[in-house]
Amino acid sequence: MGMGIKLKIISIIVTLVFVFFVFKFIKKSKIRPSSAILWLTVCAFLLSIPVFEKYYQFISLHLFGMVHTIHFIYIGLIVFLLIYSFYLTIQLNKVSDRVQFLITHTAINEKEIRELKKNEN
Amino acid sequence: MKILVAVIAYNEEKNIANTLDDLARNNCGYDIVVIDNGSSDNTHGICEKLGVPYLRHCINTGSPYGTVRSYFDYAGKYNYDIICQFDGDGQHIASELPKIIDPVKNNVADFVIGSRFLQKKGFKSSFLRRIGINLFSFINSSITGRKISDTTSGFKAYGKNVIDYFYKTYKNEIYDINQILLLSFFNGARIMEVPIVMKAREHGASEFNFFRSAAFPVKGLINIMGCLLQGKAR
Repeated sequence: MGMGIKLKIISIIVTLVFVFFVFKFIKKSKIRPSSAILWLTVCAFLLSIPVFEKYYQFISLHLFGMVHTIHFIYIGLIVFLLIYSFYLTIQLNKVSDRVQFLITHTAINEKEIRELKKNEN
Repeated sequence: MKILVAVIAYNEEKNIANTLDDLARNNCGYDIVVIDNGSSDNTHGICEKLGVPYLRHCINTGSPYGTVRSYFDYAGKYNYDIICQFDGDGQHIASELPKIIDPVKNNVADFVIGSRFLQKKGFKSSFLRRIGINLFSFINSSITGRKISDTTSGFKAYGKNVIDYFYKTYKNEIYDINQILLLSFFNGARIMEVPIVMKAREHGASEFNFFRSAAFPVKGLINIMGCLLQGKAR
């Protein structure tokens, strides 16, 4: 079963709004352009759904045996988000390791500087 | 033998002077360093005034375990043979330090826990926290094959091999009390418990509020499972 015209329009509008925000955050330097590539790819995928609906219907039905294309797309997006969340958890833990290391070594270095200054005086 | 007593402090301006005074009066030849975990009060100012060395975290590490990383790295860098963890809230008693230092000094143990529960004296802990403590003690005793009654005690001594392991080998984040115990055990540390007495804190509140105390057993259990996986991977 295909998407209705209303759903197609909503999908395109939501994607364009998302693209707008991605560009806005790049402009404000809140997202690194390299990180934005991923989200722009997601936008391109979302835009391609109403445009290439027939191809998705074919893949959905013949490769995965799903009658409803929209379910295929939902599952695809959920799998993508799960993988990406897992990747972010790994990155977050790496950052956390580094933050603890930096706090510790800043404190040790600061103590050494303080003592050197005292000895100079 | 170089011995370091690391005094852990977070917003302890009302307690730290008494704690340091107690340590000075009962000092048996060890160095002292205060680890100030990003206090917003004058904890570091009091240390400065008393002439006690201190490491000041530029921000709070979000949990007390960031201070553990600091004292292991400090002790590793300055080549200490033994470190003792001592709370800056006045709950620990300096005259009890030899009880945890001596087993490490005499090469009987590498990781000594001062347990509040081996004798029926002194301050124990809140009811909610004791649920977690008993649960972890049971699990950790089963894993290590040693009776551990007070996994979460902050009164501990570590020997050279534990210091070197956390300074040179394990560079990742330290985030849990069970993690320190189990990773040390998997690294070959001999674990021992000795009875100690603890006092209730005189001023201020513990970093463990109701929600932290409630989440503590759940997070701890997951962390224990993680440590078992890491231990098996070694």
